[in-house]
Amino acid sequence: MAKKPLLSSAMRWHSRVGVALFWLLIALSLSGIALNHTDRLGLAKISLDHSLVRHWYGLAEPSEQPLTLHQRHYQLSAHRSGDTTVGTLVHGGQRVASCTPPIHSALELSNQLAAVLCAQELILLHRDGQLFDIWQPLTGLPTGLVALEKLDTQLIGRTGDGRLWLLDVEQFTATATTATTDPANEFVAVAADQASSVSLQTLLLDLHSGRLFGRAGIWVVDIAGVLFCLLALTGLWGFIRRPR
Amino acid sequence: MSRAVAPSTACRRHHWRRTLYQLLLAALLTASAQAEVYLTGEQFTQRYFPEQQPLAGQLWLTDELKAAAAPLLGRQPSGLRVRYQRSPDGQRTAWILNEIGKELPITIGVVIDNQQISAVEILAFRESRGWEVRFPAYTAQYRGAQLQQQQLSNHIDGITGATLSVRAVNAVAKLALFYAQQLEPI
Repeated sequence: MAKKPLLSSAMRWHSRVGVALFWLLIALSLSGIALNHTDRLGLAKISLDHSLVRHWYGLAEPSEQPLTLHQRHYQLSAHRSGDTTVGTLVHGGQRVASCTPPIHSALELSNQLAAVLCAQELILLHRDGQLFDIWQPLTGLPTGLVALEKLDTQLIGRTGDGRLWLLDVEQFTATATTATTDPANEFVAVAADQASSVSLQTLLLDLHSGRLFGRAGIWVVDIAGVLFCLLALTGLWGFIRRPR
Repeated sequence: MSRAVAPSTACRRHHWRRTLYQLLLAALLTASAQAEVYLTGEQFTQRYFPEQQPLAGQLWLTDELKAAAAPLLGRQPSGLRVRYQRSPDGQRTAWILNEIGKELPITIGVVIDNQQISAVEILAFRESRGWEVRFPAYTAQYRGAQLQQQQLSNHIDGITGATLSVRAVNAVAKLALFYAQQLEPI
């Protein structure tokens, strides 16, 4: 039996792989070109608010009820950037502070100050809507807080496992306490808006890397990368060894 | 005899390989989970005030002060107060400030001795890129820097791929120097 020439067999596989990867190559090329011009095209500023995109990224649907403190309305604007969810507390269209979603709890601390407990920070707001200060775990905020409560004029933080912390927002110190709050004094937990979106840049980046389709997508793009190298090599081989 | 041994050896090898992969994966996950915070506020204080407990203070950001600080940041600083720590003799102050790199805040500690920067530390970095600004080789460039006509007196070499982080650290360094100038002498 005559042996098939290795080159013609390789070229046959070259064309099969090329056809199989056609759409993937087009998608990767176009997304790569767009990402190269992110700033010029303003891709980071284009927000994709479609419910399908939100569903795909597992983001909450926006709620109608904003966070209201001192008769001012605040919204949590959140979007995905890579593996991180970036959240911003917004008042009157203006950015107030970074707030890692979700908002666990919020209350009016006095007639001047309000406190908003985000996943990784406690935001203090002045009654005029301005940021007063931010308290983070690395500057002493107890970790794992999920609720704020008020005892007289003192702020109490409650962790997920039920521990209570007396939070001194003046000195940024926290002291473990067993004080129980009087429900009548509580002024707690206003539902927060979770207006979530994904920027076009994030979508294109996730498409380009395959992350959009989870771990399987990353493997597909990795394997495609190896196959592209093989295509280049077999193409070069075919060019060099072509009949003249 | 050898047939009986071979599968068990292969099985053991497979078991060890799987354990090794699991350990590697665990190490990678642990490293990535802990990569965000490099230094807590308490560790920062202990490092730069090793002998005496510093005095805590707060600087109120008035509208005038915010307007004066705006050229340093490219916008007005947010917040109505800034907390700082000061040595009892008033010579050294330490500031922990947040500034957004691309999308997430970088927490930066700046230590100032007699209106000159003596140390810059990245306490927490949350962005996916630009973390190279935390390396001592980079932060050492700020040592001795003063604020001169709203600019740092030291030339700071940038880092390729970390432009926004470098910009944030520069802005915070200038802002901390500006804030330190606003304090009344003890």
